[in-house]
Order: sequence, then C-alpha cells, then structure tokens
Amino acid sequence: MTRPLWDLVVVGAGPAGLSAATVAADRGLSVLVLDESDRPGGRLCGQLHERPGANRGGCWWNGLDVAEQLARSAYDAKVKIELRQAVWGLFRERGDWIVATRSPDSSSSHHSKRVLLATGAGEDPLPLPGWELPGVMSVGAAQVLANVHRVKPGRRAVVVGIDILSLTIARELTLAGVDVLAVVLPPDLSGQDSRADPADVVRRLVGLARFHPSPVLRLLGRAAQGLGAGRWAHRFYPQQGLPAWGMRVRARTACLQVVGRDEAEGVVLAPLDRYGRPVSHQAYTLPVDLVCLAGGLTPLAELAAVAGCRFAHIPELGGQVPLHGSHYETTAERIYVAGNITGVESAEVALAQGTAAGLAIALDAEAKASPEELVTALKRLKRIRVEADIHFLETVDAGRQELARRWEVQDA
Amino acid sequence: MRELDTTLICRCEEVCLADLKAAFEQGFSTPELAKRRTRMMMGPCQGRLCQTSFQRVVEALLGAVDTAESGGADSAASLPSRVGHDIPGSRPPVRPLTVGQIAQLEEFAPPAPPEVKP
Repeated sequence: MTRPLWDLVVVGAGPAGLSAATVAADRGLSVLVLDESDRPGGRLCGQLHERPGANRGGCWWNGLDVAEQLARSAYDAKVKIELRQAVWGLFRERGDWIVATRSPDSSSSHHSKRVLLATGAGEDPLPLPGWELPGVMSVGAAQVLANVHRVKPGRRAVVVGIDILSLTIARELTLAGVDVLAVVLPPDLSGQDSRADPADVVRRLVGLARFHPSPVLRLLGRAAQGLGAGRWAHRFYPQQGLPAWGMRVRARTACLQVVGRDEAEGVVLAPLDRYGRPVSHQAYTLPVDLVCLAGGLTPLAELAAVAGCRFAHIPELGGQVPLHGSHYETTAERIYVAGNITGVESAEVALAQGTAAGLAIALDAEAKASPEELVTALKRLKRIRVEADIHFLETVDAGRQELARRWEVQDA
Repeated sequence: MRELDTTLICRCEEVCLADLKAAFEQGFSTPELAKRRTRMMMGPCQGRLCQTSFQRVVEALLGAVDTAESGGADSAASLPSRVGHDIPGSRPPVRPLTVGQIAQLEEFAPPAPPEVKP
C-alpha cells in the first residue's frame, strides 16, 4: 500500500497551526493537520475575555468563534484536518519524516517532507498536599469545563496561583456562576519558587496598572502600585487582599493544603509574614468544593525533543523552548515550530506567527511565495506583539532576544 | 496539618517530595540518577505532569548556579537547565500506546517472506 507523501504535516490545530496550514495550502502545498482533541481551535475554544473598548459597546474575544473561522478558512484552502489523532513519535526515513499517531482505538502513520510543530503550551503543575483529591483541577481544566462544555466546575472555589491567566480565568468562572472566594498564593515547595513569592507576585500585579485591557485589573495594578516602590512593597499589601470583580486577590496568603476525605472539602490558608513565610499558627480552613491550581503556562515541546531539536532554557518564554531561526526552522532538518511552543504569548500573536511560518515554509518548499510577503508578515507579527491585549510574561521581548542570540551562537 | 514533604509530585509513579530529597541524600544526586532512582517522569504521563516540578526541586537541591553565560544550545537527549545539569528529555512514545496499537504499525511488521520462484 502506498501512502501519500505530504508536503507538510502540522501538529496542533490551534491558532498557529491552522493559520500556517491555511497559508501553506494557499501556496499550493498539500497539508495535513493533526490534533488530539475532538474539535479544531486548541486553547482558543476556552477563551472568553474583554478586549480594549469592551466598555464602549461589546467587544469581547470569543475564542470559539475565532476557532470556527480559522477551521473554515483551512477547509476552504483544501487543508485536511484529522482530529482525535495524538502524535506520539517522529521518525526520520530517508529525507522525509514519519509522523506516528494514535487515535483512541488504532494507530497509523503519515509521511511528510516537512513537519510544523504547533503544539502550543501546557499548564505548569502546581503540586501541594491534597492536590490529588477530586475537586482539585488546573485552572485551564476549569475554564474548559465552564466555557466549552458549559459545566459549572464547582460552587465555592479558591484559585491558587496569582498571575494574569489565573485572574482572567477566575473572572470567567464568576461569570459561569461559580463563587470565587479568593485568589491566593501556592506554598513554596522547592524553597525558591517565584510563583510563591509575594514580592515577585506584587511586582507583577503592578505591571497590570498600565497595559491590561481590563479596567478592573488596571485598578488592581494601581492599587498594588500604591503600596510603594521597592522590594518591600508587598509588606504593605493588605492582609485581606485587594478586590477584583468581587473576588479577593490575596498576595499575602498561601494555600498550604487541600483537605477532604473523598473529595476537596476545604483549603488551609495561612497569612504570610514579612519574609513571605507562612504563619502556621494562624492557619485556618476555608470550606470550598473547587480548588483551581494555576501554575502558569509552559511550552509543550516533547515532540521537538523527540525529533532531535536543540533547546534553550529561557524562563522569560516559559521554560524549555526549541531553538529556532527567523524562518521558524529548528536545528532538526525540515522541522519547524510556531505558536506557543516557541514561547508563551497570546492567541493573536500565535495567529500572526502561524501566518509567517506558513509563508516561510512555502518559501523553503519553493512554492509560490515571495520573500517580501514574509517580511510583511513578520512586520505585522511585531506590531501585533506590541499591541497584544494580554502579555502573559512581561519579559517576553528579552526572552525573544536571548533566543535569537542563542540561535546565532549555535549557528556560528 | 500535612507537611509539604508529603506532597505527591509525580502522580503516575507516586513519588512525593520527600522521596526525591531522600534520593539526593542517598547519593543519587544528578537529575538522571534521581529520575532512575525515583522513577519520576517514567509513568504513563511521561513527564507531562511532573517534569517542571522535578526541574524546580532538582535545581533547588543542586543550588542555583547560573550557567546562562555558557550561552549555546544543549543536546537533544536532555534539556538544559539553569544549574548546569541537564534535565532528562523526552523519548517516543510521548503518549501511552496499547500493545494492540503497536502491533498495528506497519513499520514494525515483520518483513514479508521472499517469494519462492518455481
């Protein structure tokens, strides 16, 4: 049996993967997109948030709609999308790649000249005692339950972990009718986890003051700013927390454990002293039935490792990222990367990255694309990055520069 | 109240924070050795739910020696970290497979017997 040899297989049907596939197919490449979920769109499907101007007449980012549009354009461009296909390996055969997949009940493989890894980012786990109890889930899981499946994940909730993503999703949960009592810090497991450090967290809240599209979060940022400058500002953070959408954002309280017999029944909270250490004798139990753990996002790059790509550890981009050049090429021949696998940014940035990567791949494949188009797409990406609604990691620019520098170093 | 040390950091292989610390104390004090000793990242999730926790704890145990200046890229078999010891990387299959799914793979099918010519 002879199987087709694709010009391009894209792993991941999120914003980056779908936009890259559409552009590449438009330029005449045969393109197959694989995704392990049962609908195209990736993390777009769970997103629902205000954009700048939302207060001036309804401007919301509804990820489900964006996902639908993207999938429609891909189908129009004759892209083949196969869902419920998890890629478990990449193997080299002569000059081509074998992409090994499995569906829930079978396995197969696809041959391709090139592979674009657009696997996105995954949630960084946030372990704490009792996190294995039912009723404890990652904040992203709660978001998918509420926004995609329309299931209310719980009645009374605490969100553990304070960052832009956790605050945004906590707000979405309140819209779904969940009573979010507080957003608190996690315990410090390793002894040097910045996610548990009130000084770091308060500094990041201050960053919301100027840029964040939501007025409520800007207000929260300004309140944090009002604590004063300098590294001790968090000492003046009110113990009972600062308000946002009726929730209390408590950057001087840590969740020490989840309690419950067969499921989560409560969380043990403790105030943090001026050095950020929990004051155990003041710990108390807050009854909740839902605990959402928000450890942040990190690029999902296992397949890049399997393909033999070289990596760099760049915390500003969310952790381990595959080295890549300006054409989204990696150190593995004909393996490309685009979207959050290259660093955690918003969906709009991933979309623009996908378009640029699709053009770059079409150029490399000597399809009908011009270098000028790529330059235009990259300029557009730069602009979108500056204007992006949400910066998950404030230092992303520095991270990008460092990644580019490492690419140059290994090239030399 | 439960101690932080009892936190399950690898759910597949049921490794708690204290187990990882103990491995280091017993001399399994590189990321690769600690992984083999504790079996962290070797269960069905293949590190998806524990690799970053492993990395954070291991970096703290090794002491954060900043090696950012070494600058370049690291090998594919392992992942670079801030402390100069590489973190074990991923290998296929990166998703669990059943034996049946493996048996279906054409690449692994035994070669056809040579045709016998009369």
